[in-house]
Amino acid sequence: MVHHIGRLIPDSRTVSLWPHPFYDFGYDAEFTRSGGDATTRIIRGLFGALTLGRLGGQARGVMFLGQQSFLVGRRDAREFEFTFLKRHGVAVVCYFVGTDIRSPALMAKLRDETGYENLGTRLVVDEPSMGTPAYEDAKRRLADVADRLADEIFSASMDQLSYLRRRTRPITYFFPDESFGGDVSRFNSPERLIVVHAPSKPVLKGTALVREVVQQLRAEGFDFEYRELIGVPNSVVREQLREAHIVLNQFYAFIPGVFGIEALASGCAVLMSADEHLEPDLPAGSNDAWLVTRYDQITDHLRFLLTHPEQIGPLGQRGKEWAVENVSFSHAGGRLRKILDDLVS
Amino acid sequence: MISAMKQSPRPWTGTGRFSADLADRRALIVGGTGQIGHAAVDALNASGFRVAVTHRGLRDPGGLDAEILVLDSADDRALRAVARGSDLVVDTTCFTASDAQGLIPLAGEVGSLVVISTGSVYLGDNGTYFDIGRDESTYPVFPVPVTEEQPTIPPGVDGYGGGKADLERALLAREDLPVSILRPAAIHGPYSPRLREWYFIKRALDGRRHIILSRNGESRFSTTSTLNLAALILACAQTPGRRILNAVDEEGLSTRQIAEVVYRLLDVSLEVHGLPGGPDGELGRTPLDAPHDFVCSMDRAKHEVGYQQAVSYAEAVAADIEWVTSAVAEAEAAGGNWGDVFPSIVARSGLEGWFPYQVEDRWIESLHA
Repeated sequence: MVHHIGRLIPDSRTVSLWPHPFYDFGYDAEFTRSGGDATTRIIRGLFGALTLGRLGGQARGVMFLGQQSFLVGRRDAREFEFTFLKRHGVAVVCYFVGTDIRSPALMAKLRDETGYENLGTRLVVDEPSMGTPAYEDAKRRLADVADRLADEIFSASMDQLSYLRRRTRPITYFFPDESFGGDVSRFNSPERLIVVHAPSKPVLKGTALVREVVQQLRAEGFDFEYRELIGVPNSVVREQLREAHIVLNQFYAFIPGVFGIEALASGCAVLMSADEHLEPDLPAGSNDAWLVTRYDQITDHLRFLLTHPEQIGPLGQRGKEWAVENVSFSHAGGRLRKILDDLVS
Repeated sequence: MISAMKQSPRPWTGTGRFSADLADRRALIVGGTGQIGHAAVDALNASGFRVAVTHRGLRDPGGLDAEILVLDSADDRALRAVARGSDLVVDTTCFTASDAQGLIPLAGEVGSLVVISTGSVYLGDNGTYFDIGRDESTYPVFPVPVTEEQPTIPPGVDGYGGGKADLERALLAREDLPVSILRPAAIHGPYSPRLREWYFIKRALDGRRHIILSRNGESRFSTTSTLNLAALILACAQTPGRRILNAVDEEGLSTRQIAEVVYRLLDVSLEVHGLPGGPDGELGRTPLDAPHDFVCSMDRAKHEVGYQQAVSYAEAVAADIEWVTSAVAEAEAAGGNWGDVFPSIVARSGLEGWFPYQVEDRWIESLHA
């Protein structure tokens, strides 16, 4: 996302202090050395500090994607660097994208109210340390610093329930216009439907359930090809999406996520738990663009599409149109630029 | 290409002459195997027309009492060949100005043309329209009632309503084309692909006594029974001319009243819980909910073609209930469910989208906590 946002904002510079597991974009300033050894940590720390110092003198604004900080050695939820930047007249924008700001404790309360698991409750299953008071304290501090010092905050109000007190702007995704694709003719009487699931983190995406569903539906006599992509480069995933008819995205989150967007942009019929009725930050009408599917509805909804294949193509088309309108560079990029321009003018 | 699936004593070909003999009147319904076609076939048969319907051959036309012609309405030449000489042509398949091009040459070759448009062509007084008015702030605002004088979406605007508005303009630009353009609202009837009343019918059948309605159940969005639409089609056939008419059920009931009609017909007790504002998440989100009332006037239809509503809303819904309960029972007997009767509802909303019973139950429990 850093790379895409960088492309959208003229004269911007992108900085990455950690290599990405799936994406291989170049950044303007990039620390590529991996490892947790002391030397790497020291060099990364110096790199971050120097980059911060340089930007403090040059930038009109700095957007922090996630909970990354320049001063990697500090444990102050970025309070020092935010203060430093603002002292130099630099606007600070926080763009939270999920686990960075989400409070598992608050999401657990939501589960108690709704009766349904959500991404926050799944996080603790995946990583128990996220269910500790110390973890919650860290999220509290991150939110507090952002509330006090950020000039603008982007987040997803329900999917990323947090300790932020200020009103936030909805996050969105930005997908290059030239990357939209997928031949619609693949939906015309396909020989065999292709169903793709590509979880970045299987526990969070519902992969175990998906596998059970696939087994069950095959036992019921449905014939389809199931492709599961784990740990593969994004370039491979995008290729697969251009062939896929149905995508099983993720089933605990209230927003599409990056892979969901990629699937929509490829014209696939997407099943996922993103739901405008649960996440008010999604644009009205979003639920038309995919088949809203909770983790306990995967069987019924996939069975439905396999039984009614005439619905798959139109669903994919609606999803693609939604993606063009809401996340393409040409549409969403302009909206982001306006917000940032208004901020620094 | 045309193929006749059923032989008739006299082949269905255009003669270029309309019939003065009432017993010999011929009606052609283009795209006639859907909900409008079924109702129109029955009404026209009852009125003495000899009826043919065209369809693309993609699905079983069902038990229609009409001659079935497999024809793609985009094939202008074929359409003209079968339509020529008809006393009435009803077209349910036109969506854009380019679709009108297939009908315009029928000027002078048919007695009367009826084209199904939509109330979605109307432009709200706040400058928005249904295609883009998806939430409380962008929903179009209309006077009550909406007459045919209400401005429509300007030319060249994409979308369902924009396309239909362009279609209307293209048809009316031809002054010698005797076309009646009908603007229905929320259509309901047997064979409906997206019966909005199913929201209430299924709840009643499931024994759900409680219904949660946004806006205290007071919002109104005009409905259009296919039975009443068929009556209007017949009235236009009997009075050929060039006109635009709304086509809605005159009652203009609120969502609460609609729920009451359904539950009364199914003899199920009903308790309505009103939310004062709009839907709250999944609560109160009915397919007939409207942030601002959309109620259309039928005065012009009554005045210009002597239209009389054929059935009350309750009578129409009784027919809906009879059809849908039979259709769902058939689907279930085949191992399926109601989603097989309404795949387009499920494709857009999921199997629980219209029926978030668990969420509703928790909310109702919280009232008593």
